[in-house]
Amino acid sequence: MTAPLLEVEDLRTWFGGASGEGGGREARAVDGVSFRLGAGETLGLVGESGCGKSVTALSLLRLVPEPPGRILPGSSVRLRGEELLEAPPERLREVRGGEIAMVFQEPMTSLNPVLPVGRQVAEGIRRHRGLGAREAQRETVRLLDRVGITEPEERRRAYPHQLSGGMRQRVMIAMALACRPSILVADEPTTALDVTVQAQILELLADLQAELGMAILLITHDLGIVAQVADRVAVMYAGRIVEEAPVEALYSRPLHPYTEGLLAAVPDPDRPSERLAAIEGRVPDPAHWPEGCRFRPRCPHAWERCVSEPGLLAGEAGRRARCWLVEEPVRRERESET
Amino acid sequence: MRTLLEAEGLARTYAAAGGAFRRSGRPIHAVRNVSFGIARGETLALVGESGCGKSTTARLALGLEEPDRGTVRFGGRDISSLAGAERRAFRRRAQMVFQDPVGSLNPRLRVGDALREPLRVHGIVPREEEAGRVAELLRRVGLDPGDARRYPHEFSGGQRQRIGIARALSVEPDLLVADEPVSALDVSVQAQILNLLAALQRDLGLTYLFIAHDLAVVRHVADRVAVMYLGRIVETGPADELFERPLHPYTRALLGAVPRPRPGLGVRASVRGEASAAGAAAGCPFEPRCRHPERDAACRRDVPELEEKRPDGAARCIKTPAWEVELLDPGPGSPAGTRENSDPA
Repeated sequence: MTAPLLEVEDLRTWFGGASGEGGGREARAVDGVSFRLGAGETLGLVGESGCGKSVTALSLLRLVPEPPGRILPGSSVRLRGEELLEAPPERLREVRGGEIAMVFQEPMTSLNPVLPVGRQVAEGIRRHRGLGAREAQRETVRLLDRVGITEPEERRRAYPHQLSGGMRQRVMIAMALACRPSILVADEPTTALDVTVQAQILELLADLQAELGMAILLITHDLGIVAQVADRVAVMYAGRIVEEAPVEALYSRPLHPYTEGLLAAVPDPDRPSERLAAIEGRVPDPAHWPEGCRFRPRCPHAWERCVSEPGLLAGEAGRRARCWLVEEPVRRERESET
Repeated sequence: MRTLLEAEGLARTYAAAGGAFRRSGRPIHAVRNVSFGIARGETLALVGESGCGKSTTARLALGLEEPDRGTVRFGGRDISSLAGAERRAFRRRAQMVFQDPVGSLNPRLRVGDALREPLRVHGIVPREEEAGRVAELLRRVGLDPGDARRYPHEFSGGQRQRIGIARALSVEPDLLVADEPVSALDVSVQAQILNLLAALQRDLGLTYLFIAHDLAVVRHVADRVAVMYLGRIVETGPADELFERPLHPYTRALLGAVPRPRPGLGVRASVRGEASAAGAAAGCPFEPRCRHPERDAACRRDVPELEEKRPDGAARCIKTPAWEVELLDPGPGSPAGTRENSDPA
């Protein structure tokens, strides 16, 4: 059997701690995350702030600043079987922006403010594809046009601040595509954009994926976006994946009570309701994750067994959930009857 | 007196930031001829994308900024004519809730003191009753009376928003103007705050002017909606009708762009381009992006008026037929089924 495109296993990225800030407890931001990404598929990594989804994305390419962060021994990120966490720096540079490209929420921080955007796109093309200046420029114009920038021949001379947020994100996508990556990691790529522009960018990403066959790891807090874009979804809570499922299955029948609560809390513009179902309490602090199941203090179903934390238990049809209810589904039914 | 807050013909223009290397640009028309009314106990949502003028409208409505033209009436009185005790009373009765409550809370003030301050300024209760009132306010917004001794940084985002709401409530207002009150919050916490605002409105009879960009949230909270585009209201009407049968092509585009939390629908760009004040020199400001099948030269001639298109529903579009009005009075040769009313999706 061939190795999956990307395989993450038991990833742990912690921050601070005894030697670090304040000598306090380590913040276990990512704490045992495992998932696979197949060629051409879109995996939605979804969760609320502080759940560890962005740190997971950064850890894949070792972009977490160390210190204060550190990726713990035993963590593994394999690209076609090749261990990236132990790869030499030059190999890692090759992979970054080559095989794995990233797009972030705020393109302003990833773009150089004093260089015309076209130069920045061309630079990546030259570095990773070894094209000459003239060819790189031609390719830049083609890419800018492809990502929906009108008059690319003129716009390539613009500086980042002269472009709108939507246009800047298009430039970022052009840069990411410059090296024909097999994986695009997109971290909240539309969160800073207006909704009509967001729809344009999401449509663009879907078109490009169909055209280029790249896999997308989409990190987002927006359950509407995940529903429309992802093939599979991994839900994160308190540094861990708590549920993973094909997108239809997850939305029609969530297994984990956290997923269930999250979905019930999302307002639907087509179906107004009197009252939204809120999840009581607050997201726990990464330096003090609760003992046992980390969702237990907020869980409406919690019982004695939840004092010990379950692993990701396999449900039907490729589903996994970190909840004892997978083994004892009768409990949920009994509760909903009362 | 049913209408609590009424805005008429509001306009506000800002001088464009010239910048060191630029000649001063054209003035920015943040708000242009905006009118609306909110009945007591009702929620009006102002929605639109960034730069549409919704926040400026909120500030004008509260008298935090002077309009260049137009009037704001509160309880029937022009707020610019209020002075002395009347002005103070208006300042008390119309309160604001911000997106980021931290910015409006003094970090060195304990929560109890932050709540006590407005009580004192407006003389709401005698000093000996202040502590009791603070405890009551905290309970009312779902916090613990013991939280009065803590500092703002000790609270989570959702709890801080509860404190912001408690502070606004402390002076017993009639109107809350909430500017993106849940957009910084996680979805599970957002639901808590929306439920709290709904409960407070029900229990206290509050009137809300709710500013938001998230249409799903708006659908959930609003009785009436006004959609803004480049400084103007382009459609207004009851929330259910506006969401189910949007009149203006922009409203349709906006609704169509929202990714639904139900798989299988896909995401399609409902409109091209971005809002730009520089775009249309004359005519309908949405025309450059409009996908209305009948869009033509007439759209580029004049700015359309906000016209009644059906009972209690108005839109600023010359190509949107006044179809419900016709339905009520079906003239010969105007069958009801042929109207352009495409699905927002």
